[in-house]
This record gives sequence, C-alpha cells and structure tokens, in this order.
Amino acid sequence: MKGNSFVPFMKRKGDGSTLNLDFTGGSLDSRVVLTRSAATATYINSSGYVATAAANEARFDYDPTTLAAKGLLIEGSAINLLKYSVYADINWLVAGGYTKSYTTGITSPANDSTAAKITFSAVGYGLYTNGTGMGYTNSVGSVYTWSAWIRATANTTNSNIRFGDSAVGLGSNIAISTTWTRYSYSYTAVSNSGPYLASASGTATGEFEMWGFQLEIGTSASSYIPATLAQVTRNPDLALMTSTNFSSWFTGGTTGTFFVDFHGGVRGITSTVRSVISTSDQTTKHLHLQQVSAAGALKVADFGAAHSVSTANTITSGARTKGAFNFDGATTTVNLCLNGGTVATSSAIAFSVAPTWLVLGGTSTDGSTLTDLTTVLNGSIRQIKYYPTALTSAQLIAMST
Amino acid sequence: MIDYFLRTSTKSNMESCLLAAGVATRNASGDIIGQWDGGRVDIDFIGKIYGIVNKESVVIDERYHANLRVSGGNLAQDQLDELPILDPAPTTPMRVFA
Repeated sequence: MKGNSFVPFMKRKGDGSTLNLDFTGGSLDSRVVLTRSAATATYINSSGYVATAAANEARFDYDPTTLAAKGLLIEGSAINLLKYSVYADINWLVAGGYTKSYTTGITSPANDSTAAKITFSAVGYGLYTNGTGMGYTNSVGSVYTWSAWIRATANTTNSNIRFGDSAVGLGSNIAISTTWTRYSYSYTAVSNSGPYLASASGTATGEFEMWGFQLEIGTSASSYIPATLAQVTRNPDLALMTSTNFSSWFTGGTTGTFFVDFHGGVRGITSTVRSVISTSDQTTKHLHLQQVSAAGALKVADFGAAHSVSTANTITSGARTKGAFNFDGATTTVNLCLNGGTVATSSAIAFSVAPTWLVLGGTSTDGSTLTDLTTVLNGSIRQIKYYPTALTSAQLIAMST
Repeated sequence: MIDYFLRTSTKSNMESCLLAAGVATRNASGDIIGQWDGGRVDIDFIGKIYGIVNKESVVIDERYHANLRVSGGNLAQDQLDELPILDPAPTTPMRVFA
C-alpha cells in the first residue's frame, strides 16, 4: 500500500500529518468525492492536449507548454456564448473587406482534425461576431473574455493578430506563435460587443490555424467548452470529504494545521473571492482559506467572514501558490503564511466546534451541495496536507516556501 | 442524468416553482441554488430567449426560461408536477448543458 491509500486507524504519517492528498499523480483519492453533472468538460492532459472528461470524472490539469502537473482542476459554472466553437464560420462576419478563405480538417489542440486554417491576405482582414450573430444580448458593463487557440503556419513575420471587441475595435496586437497557444482578450461590453480578430501586421498573406472559440462572462478564460448548435453550460465541480472520509483524518478537533499547494483562481465573475478549501460552512465550524482577489492576498475567515486574517504579501495570478495556516479554537488564534512570507495572525477567529466536512475549492453549508456558486476556485489544487496539531510559525514558513 | 427545459412568465415564478419542487434553496446571499436530497441538481437561469431573425438578434420569447439537470436519481412525480417543464422540449434550444 502506498501513496494516498486509505489506512483505517492510521493516525499519522512520518511528518505528523494525517492527511496528504497529492493530486499531481493524476489520481483521485477515494476519500474525495467529486461531482460535476456535465456530460463533457475539458482540461489539458499530460500530453498537452485538450481532453474531455465525463460527468463526475476528476480533471487533472497540466501546463500545455511545460506539461507540468497543475493538480485537480476545480471550476465554477461557465457558459460558452459562441456556437460552432471549432472554427469561426457560421455566425461570424467578415471585417475589412475580407472574403472568407479557410480549409478544415486541420489537426487541433485536441489532437483531432477539427481545426481550420484561415488565410488573411491583407492587413485588417478579419472576422467578428456579436450578440446579433450569435443570438445573445450583451450584459452592458459586464466583463467578457473571449479566447481561441491559434497558431501561425506561414509568413511568420506577418503573424500578428489583433484580438479585440467588435463594437469598439480596440484590443491588442498579438504575435502569434507557431505552436498552438490559447490567446484571450477581456472587454467591458457595450450593447453590440463581441469577439473580433484580424490580421494586424505585414503585407503578405498570413495563415493561421484556429480552434476552440469561446466567449464567457468573467475576467479570464475557463476551460474550453465545446459548442455546436447552442450555447453550452459547463456545471461546477464539487469536491467533498465527508463522514468517515473526513473524520478518519481530521483528528485534532479545533486545533490543527492545513497546508495547500495550488494554482490560484483568476476568473472572477460575481465575486473576486476564490475558495481554496473550507470546513463546514456553519457557525463556529467554518475555516475558509480563500484568495481575496485575482492577484490578492491569502485569507482565512470564519463563518460569515465575521473575523478574518489576511497575508501582507499577495498571490501572483494563476501562479503556483503555497499557503499554510494553523488554528487553535481554544484561543481563537489563526496564523497564516503565504509562500513563505510574513506570518499574519488573528486572535478572533470563531472556531470552537470541530467541523464534519471539507470542501476543496468551494464552500458548503450542508455537506452535500455547493452553496456559494460565486466563489469556486477556478484553479487547480496540487496538494493538501493536514496536521492534528498547530505547527509553529517557523514550520508554516518552511512548508510554504 | 436528465435535463429539463423550464419556462414561466417571470423569474420570480421560476424560483417559486423550483423551491416548491424541492430542487432548490435560497443561500445566505439570497440566491436560488440547486439542492436536492436525492441527488445532484444544476440550474442554469437563462431568462428571455433570443434568436436570429433576418440576421438580427431579437427576443423570440419574452418569458423566463431555465434549464435543470438532475443526476444521481430521479425526481418524484409530485416534484415534476411542480416544475414548468416544456413539453415537448425545444428542438433547437438556445442553451444546453455540456
């Protein structure tokens, strides 16, 4: 028996921890129950391809370039507002006098043949769409992010593309790589906003292979949501440890230490708070480790966030992050450390009753339902450890460095 | 796993139906969220339905729409009776679950 295998009545591992979930190996510990009622959801697999997962199947995400394991992907709900996401033909309009010129059957980032090669023969030639083309109405003032995988295949000196908003024409000139890369652009919608891309430099023909068009509400792109005839909703992930799957290792009562190694969420929609882990979301039982904002501090809050403690240092958006905190319900003390920085302390955290469940990347008031849909991590967790004792501040710094 | 397409006259009515069917609750923020003891439910609140008419996006149904996905179990008949299920289901829905 090795790794995270469950050993009944085993109290501690060599370092004193009674829980060590390591998701970088691509398997889900049987004590974690993950549900996601989406028939398909996508992630980057260990080969760097976009892969699909069935309902309730855990997604272990990898960096598409380095292939480094990012851990268990936990995302909130998202909607791809664009139909026919594999290439921009139906419902897309032409810009700058461009006449559509493309071929299909190109090998895609999913390693199938669903990508298209699009040829722009002059600067300013491009494609755009909007609510009118796709049959939705912009929520004026909301931030949308549109994204697509693109690679340049010819005339790489003329491989800049302008990514922008079709209503205002703004955006960024992006030098397109010759390898598949997911590019994205966020904009604040006006009434007729929508995705726009056009050839942006050079005078010769530019050829681009494209795939995976997605438009969603939020400040950054979530995992790819394939769409054809209709807009598609991906439901949120819920990862829970309850009953004996929790009590078998949570043995310290109201005293203990958590350590989490994760990639912080970056996709705020209605809340910028992103949950990393949380215990029972009930009065006196709630410890909520959370990312305050996309590039904000790490924070531990109690029930209703009546009291909290935040680190002085901040998270780099989307980067690998390590956080550790100890807690002692008797003294209402929590010490919190982010990436080995200065330990922040609160002596007012109300945690006087031992909880009965843990949620990974979310919160739950009942131990069975994701009860705040706005704070899901939208990131990935590499490792979680728990110790039934309050480790010292020096130990918090050492483990989170 | 089964999907239902729901329609009522207003958002408030939709929320009332979901609560009456026992597939939703109101969270601490006051938002309606899916919750059911018999399994998992997911609710996608849509609102009005838009479509393309003469290359323009227009409202083709002013009423309030939502999609409901039930997994891990089946709703009882008395729960289904409380839900404003479109029957027959739309052949070209504006939005579906993945």
